[in-house]
Amino acid sequence: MDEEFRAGLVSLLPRFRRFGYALTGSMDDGDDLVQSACERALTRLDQFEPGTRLDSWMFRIMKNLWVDQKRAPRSFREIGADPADLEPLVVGDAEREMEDRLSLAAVRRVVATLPPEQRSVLALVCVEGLSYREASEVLEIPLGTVMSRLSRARMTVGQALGIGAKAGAKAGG
Amino acid sequence: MGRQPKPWVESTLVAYVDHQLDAAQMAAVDDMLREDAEARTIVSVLRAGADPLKVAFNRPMREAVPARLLAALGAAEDHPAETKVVPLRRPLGFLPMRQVLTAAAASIAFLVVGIGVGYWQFAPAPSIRPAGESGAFETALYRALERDQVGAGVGYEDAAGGTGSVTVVGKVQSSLGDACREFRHEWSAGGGKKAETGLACRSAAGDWSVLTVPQGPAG
Repeated sequence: MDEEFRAGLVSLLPRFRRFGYALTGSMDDGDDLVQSACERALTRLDQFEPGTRLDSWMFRIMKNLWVDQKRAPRSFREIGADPADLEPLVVGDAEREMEDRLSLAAVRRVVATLPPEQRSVLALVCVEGLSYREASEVLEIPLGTVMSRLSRARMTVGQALGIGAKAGAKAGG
Repeated sequence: MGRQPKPWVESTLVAYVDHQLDAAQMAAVDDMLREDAEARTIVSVLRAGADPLKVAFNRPMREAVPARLLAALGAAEDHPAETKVVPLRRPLGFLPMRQVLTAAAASIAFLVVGIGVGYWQFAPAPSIRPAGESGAFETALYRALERDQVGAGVGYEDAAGGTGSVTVVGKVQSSLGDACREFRHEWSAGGGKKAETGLACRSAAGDWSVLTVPQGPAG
């Protein structure tokens, strides 16, 4: 059981890192969160119910740790401070590279401005691809709350990317 | 007739966009969208933000897992650091997914449409579609994607006499295994040449989702 459990966690590490990145807005902070969550998971092996989803179980641990950390005095670095966000991409012409980098950073910046409860729903559903039902189980909130938080988050992101303004301008013209 | 309160709420529309409603509910929203321009706008906003969100945090999916995380799981003790990586899918080639998709996000307006599924009609399309479009471009694009030869163009002529071509310029393997293609669309409009690039990814269901970015005159 133990070995199987560890192997399962190892195979899911890329997804845990992605979820951590989406929650914290930083690769380094995300990895710190994954590491803490892995350590915690190994001490709570007996609490995992075989047959249930290991990824959901870990997402819940990560989310709870993140909420605890946010309450602690040290706050996470602002998004964009991660040097990786400033790394040049290796191909393409310079102008396009710049545009790509700025726009991807813009998406992440908008996400980082969302309230934590919206960000965790967004990360589970839009980034990790969980169903609303699965997200409601991980976060231990009602389905309707998942939907309302998600819609608010998604409208904020869409509008921040200028999509709503463009559509509105078109409708008017 | 007095204006009724809107029969929808955003959370229903977000569930619609995410295909989380049952068939009857999906059909009801489809009906409603035909009548309601405001709801269509909201759906456009929701839908257009979905793809950038999906990839904005994908970097960990392409990179080796740091040794410290493997060590935390006791998976790294017996091997040199270089080999302590979880087998990930093949790293992206010359054209990272991130770059292509973020090029799309860079545009103020961009388009997310599906070919072969029912939501073409709701795409926030008009602002960035070539004028005089009659489906000829979509057909050419679909053929180019299905033919799947890098560098081979598929030309088209639409009902209004406009001409254009679609060329698959590269293959993109996302870390999730999606089969994606970058394509270039060139067409004549108003005496000038225009071009846009886009990314098409095939879903598990077999249809193509397309993201296009207008790039202005093609020189």
